[in-house]
Amino acid sequence: MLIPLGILATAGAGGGGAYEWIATAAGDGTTTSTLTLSSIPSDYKHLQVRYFSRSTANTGTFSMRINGVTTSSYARHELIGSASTTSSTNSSSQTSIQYLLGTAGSGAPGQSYRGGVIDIVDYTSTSKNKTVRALYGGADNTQTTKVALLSGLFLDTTAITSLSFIVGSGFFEGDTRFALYGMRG
Amino acid sequence: MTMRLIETKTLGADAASIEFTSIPQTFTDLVALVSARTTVASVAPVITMTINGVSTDRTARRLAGNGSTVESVSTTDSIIGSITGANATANTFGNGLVYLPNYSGNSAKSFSTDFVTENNGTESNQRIYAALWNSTAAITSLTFSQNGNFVVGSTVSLYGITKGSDGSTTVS
Amino acid sequence: MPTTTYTPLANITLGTAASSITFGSIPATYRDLIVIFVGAGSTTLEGRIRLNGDTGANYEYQRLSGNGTTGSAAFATSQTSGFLSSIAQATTTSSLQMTINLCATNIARRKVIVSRADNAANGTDAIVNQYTGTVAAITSIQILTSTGNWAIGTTAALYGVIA
Repeated sequence: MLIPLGILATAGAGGGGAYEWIATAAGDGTTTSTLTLSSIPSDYKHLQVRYFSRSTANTGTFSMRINGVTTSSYARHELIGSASTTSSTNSSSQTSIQYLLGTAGSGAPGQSYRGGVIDIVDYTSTSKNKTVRALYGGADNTQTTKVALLSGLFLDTTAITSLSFIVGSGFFEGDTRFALYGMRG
Repeated sequence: MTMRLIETKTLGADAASIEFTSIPQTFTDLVALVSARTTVASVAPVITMTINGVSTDRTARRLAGNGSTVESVSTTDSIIGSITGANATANTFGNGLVYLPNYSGNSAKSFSTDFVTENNGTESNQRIYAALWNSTAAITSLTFSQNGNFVVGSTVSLYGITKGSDGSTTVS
Repeated sequence: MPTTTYTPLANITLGTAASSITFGSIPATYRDLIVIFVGAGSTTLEGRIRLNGDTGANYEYQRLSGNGTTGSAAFATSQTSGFLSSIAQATTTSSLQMTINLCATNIARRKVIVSRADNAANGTDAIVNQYTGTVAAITSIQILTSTGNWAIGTTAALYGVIA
């Protein structure tokens, strides 16, 4: 098949499904302050994480780091609805991508969790910093409610091989799940 | 299984557009995942999508944030989001999703988009769109463009999703 | 070993106008469920959702919306159904499109729904719902109108994602 001028590559359809479950990291309520999806295969084109989260402590925040990098290599912007207020926020030169109010905490009603879907496109590229897009939030009403479209930036062109999720305090409660999916491309 | 890759296109050189033609009519919905940057001298310039070569008969409503303020706008153009531009942090690309349900049917074509750009600074865009192509024609081509060139490495993956039944779940 | 998922479970195209579409007998195999909905309404209405047939005041939501002029947000609790879309008259020309992600549907915790709703003639929404009723697995999902009917030709498809 001729590849049009300017197009580096075209990958055509394979015979099987393009959306695959790779792995799940689960909370246990006693030891899991960090959940890591590691040894991420390099043979997909895009990644998706579907999460469901509660902390054992009174926090609403968890953070995401890529490839274990803990330096000021991240930025974050959000379009937010919280109670009756809309807002647009920015944070640069961060040490992680924070998901503020992205998890339920111990102050939330029992059994309440928060959740979302996180998309990372072209995660194996070695010429691109990595851009994260997420739709997430929670409506348990004893902590501030939130729905947000988040964009996150990892200032590093290295291919992604691991994703770590770090709870703001305490541990990720049992039944917390960060499930990783790969999309062929 | 239901989601299948139709094609991924990745630019080996800067180019004005990325186009998918002869889209198979065998799926229920189309999903496009976009990783793109443009040469346009802005932090978060727009990306457009023409359908079957047509940029007219369009309606959209968007909600957007730029890192500081929130706006909602109605349009009749072919803009579907914003991507990272030349004035943003180097090597940084936008991230977008386009969902086109019932693309091969004979009703007007509603679709949705979620696009984000990034930048290690104040300005960056997050946009959600409700969009419509008021045509009953089946979608056979999609052309992604912007007001300059997509830079090398920009990529779009097009997937087809097929509805079905597992034989036990009911619906009424 | 990676496992292909995003499994089609059921789908419908309405041949008769109806006030709701219900997916039932949903297997507990899947962690997340996804509904893709495209439809028109007989009148100005909101899209709503009920789980496991629960009509009690067991739903709360936070929405973020843009109507083409203004952005807005709202939170509500003790609702008798979850919120899926802002009020609008969806037509067959400018239909209501919803992507509904139901999280952790087979885990014995309160269920979270993260969704988007779009109608080019009226606006766009991003929404999170929490269901505060039973923590049992979700076996049925009802997509209903706040008033009136979904029109003939409205489509809904359910997919399951394992984890």
